[in-house]
Amino acid sequence: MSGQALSRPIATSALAVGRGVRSLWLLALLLVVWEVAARMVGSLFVPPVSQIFGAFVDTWLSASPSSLFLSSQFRADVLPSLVRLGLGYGAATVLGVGLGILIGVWRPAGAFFNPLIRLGMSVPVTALLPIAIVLFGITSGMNVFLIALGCLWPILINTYDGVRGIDRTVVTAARSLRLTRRRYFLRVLLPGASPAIFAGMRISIGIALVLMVISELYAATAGLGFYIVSQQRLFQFPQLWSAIVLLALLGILFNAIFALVERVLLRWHRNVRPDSAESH
Amino acid sequence: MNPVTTRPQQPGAALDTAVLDVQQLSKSYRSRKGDVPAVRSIEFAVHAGQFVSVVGPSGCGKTTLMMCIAGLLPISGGAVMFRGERMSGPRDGVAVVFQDYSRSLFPWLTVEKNVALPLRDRGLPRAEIRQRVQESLEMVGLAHAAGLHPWQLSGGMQQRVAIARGLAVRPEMLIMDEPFASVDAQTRASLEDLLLKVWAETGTTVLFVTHDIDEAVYLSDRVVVLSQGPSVVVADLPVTLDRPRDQIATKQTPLFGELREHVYSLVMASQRRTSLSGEPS
Ligand SMILES: Nc1ncnc2c1ncn2[C@@H]1O[C@H](COP(=O)(O)OP(=O)(O)OP(=O)(O)O)[C@@H](O)[C@H]1O
Ligand SMILES: [Mg+2]
Repeated sequence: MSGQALSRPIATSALAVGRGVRSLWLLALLLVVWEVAARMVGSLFVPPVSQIFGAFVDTWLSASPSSLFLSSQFRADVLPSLVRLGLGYGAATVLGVGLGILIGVWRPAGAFFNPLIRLGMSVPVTALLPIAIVLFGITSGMNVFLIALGCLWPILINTYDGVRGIDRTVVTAARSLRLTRRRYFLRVLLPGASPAIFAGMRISIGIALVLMVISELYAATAGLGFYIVSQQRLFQFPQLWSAIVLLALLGILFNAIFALVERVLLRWHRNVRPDSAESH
Repeated sequence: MNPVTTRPQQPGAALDTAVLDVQQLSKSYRSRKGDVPAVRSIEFAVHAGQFVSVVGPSGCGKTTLMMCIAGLLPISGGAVMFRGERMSGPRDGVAVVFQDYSRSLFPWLTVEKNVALPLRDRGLPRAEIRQRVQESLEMVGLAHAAGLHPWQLSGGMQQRVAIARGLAVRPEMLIMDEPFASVDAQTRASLEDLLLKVWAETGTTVLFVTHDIDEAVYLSDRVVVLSQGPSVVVADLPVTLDRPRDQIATKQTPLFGELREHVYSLVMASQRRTSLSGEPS
């Protein structure tokens, strides 16, 4: 089966998921230009798209339908990456939202921690990679730690801002209803801060992907980043590119999931009319 | 005949039966330049089942006063007595409808859930909650909108939801802060009539804050007139217009005209006084 014949449905279905891409035509044109240019130049490092997609299918999707087409290579390298991503991102979300609410609600803590958080946020986490390697060794724990640390700050700061930014009228109205603390938390505070929390989580998922790959490029014995370096060493550039395509698809998938969740959970937020800014 | 003296309401005589008794209430806001007084020394009482309006020029401290009475702002001096007990915070039996309806409803909850919210954690059975929500929404004519979100409704409808939420707790007193200030004239008239209907049906006491003199006179049993801020009570007038009232007929009566003129002149006089005494406006 030729790679080109398959590449098209894969590309289109991937795009159908990604809402960020404005025009299918532009992408199709780009792929055609890439194909033609790559064939003309004949570079080893930038193979034609058809070869890349061929490698993509062979590498990741060559297994039987019973295992959902996911190849042993997929299980060897993609699954560990996804597990690290999930653990790091999950830990960052739990910690970030929890701490963010705590310091958002408790003013003295907010005043105390705010400068610390802004400082922590401005340190590029990638610079901490060598330290993390020394601390954890070449373990998954190191990758998870780095992902969690990088994702923590945007979630934390957004949650904090979200809690602090809840409309005073909303808070006063809630007070007049004499809600229990628990109900106030679940029905007023959390939903009120949720647009900001989701904004933070959305920024962080991109950071998580980047940190996952980077930490695996330098220190891992399995994973997508590890796969990319090993293919580079083996001069298997179509395979290398196929991993990059897979990363791009993961990015699109995560964004689509967020778009979907926000569409459902934050429908009210997009619909609240801006004319509510009247003050007294 | 002077309408002010037609039916003198002696506050002192009926003080013991007052639902709400505001005694020498003062409130200052803290600022960098020191304490800024917003209301100076407010004194009035509201009796069970009465509809009392508080009018005053814009910025005179009406919202401040209302928040203090509702226990939502700490007071600086005096006392707010509710059923003979000193108010020290929001309490059961008092419901508030805010000036800014679009922000006092929770946009992430449906109309139904907004109205049900104050009924939760009160030990009420689910069926009772559902029935009270239904009942309050029917009273404001919004039973059909139960499943919608506030942002799917017009301004007038949103304010009716806020009223329904206030009614759902079956309050002894409903405090409303310029609830109809930001809807158009027709909606406003129909909301006024709706409020009068609900008031007659439920028998709840209403404290209605507004800067609109016509509205105050049209709705109320009594109008409390505040001066320019920091405000004091400049007059406490009984309104002896017949009930049920009618937007056209009531407003055409000579008594209505006299009352509104009287209130108007009091508000204007208080404004002149403060500007003559050199206070910043
Ligand atoms: N949170 C606050 N901090 C400091 N000053 C305040 C605060 N809220 C109100 N004030 C001041 O108190 C005075 C009274 O304000 P308030 O909102 O009670 O007036 P109002 O009569 O409700 O006005 P409006 O008719 O515009 O609603 C104003 O001078 C205002 O600037
Ligand atoms: Mg006001």
